[in-house]
Amino acid sequence: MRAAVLLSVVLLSGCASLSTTSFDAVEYNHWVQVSHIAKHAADACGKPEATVAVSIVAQQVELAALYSDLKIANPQIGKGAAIMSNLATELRDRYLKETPSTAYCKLKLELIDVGARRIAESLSKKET
Amino acid sequence: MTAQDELQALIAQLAYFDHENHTDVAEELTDTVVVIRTENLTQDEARELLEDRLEMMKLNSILEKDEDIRLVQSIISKLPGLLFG
Repeated sequence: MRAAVLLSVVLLSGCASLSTTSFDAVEYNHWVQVSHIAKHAADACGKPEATVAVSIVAQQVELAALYSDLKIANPQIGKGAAIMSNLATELRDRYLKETPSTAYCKLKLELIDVGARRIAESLSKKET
Repeated sequence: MTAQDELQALIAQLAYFDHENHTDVAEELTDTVVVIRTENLTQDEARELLEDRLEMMKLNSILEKDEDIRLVQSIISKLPGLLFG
């Protein structure tokens, strides 16, 4: 009986590595959320609530980038995450110093939206 | 050579690059220039957006080689000065 339990534990722990896929649903969801939030934050451009909206986008990008950065898996995604961080941080910091034009705000958020989609698409290709 | 001539020469250089590499870098930058002009962005905003475009091209693997990135970077660095005289 004890041997049977021991055998099953050994076999199951071995199976964990065999069943691991490289698709990370949490990471994918992070970047989908960035795209979604950035897309809708553009509605706030040119309005008083824009400062808060871009700050929320920056926080979401920071979370997604931190998650991707702490993973050991994919340096390419890490590079993409760093680019996205720079985009979002620049926009947030600009709003702290001045009020950028509505067009600039919308264009920047569109880039963040598109970039996040690109990263999510890259991640989804690992789905099995 | 006027600023306009210089800009056109740079765009032509990019067009050749796109032809050789089957990319749309010139079109993307031209679109950005049009937006900069029609939306009356500041020079600082223009510079930032052009840099962002370059970063997105790297993200999308449109530009991968260092020499290609340097080519587009050199053009992007000249554009704000040409656009805002």
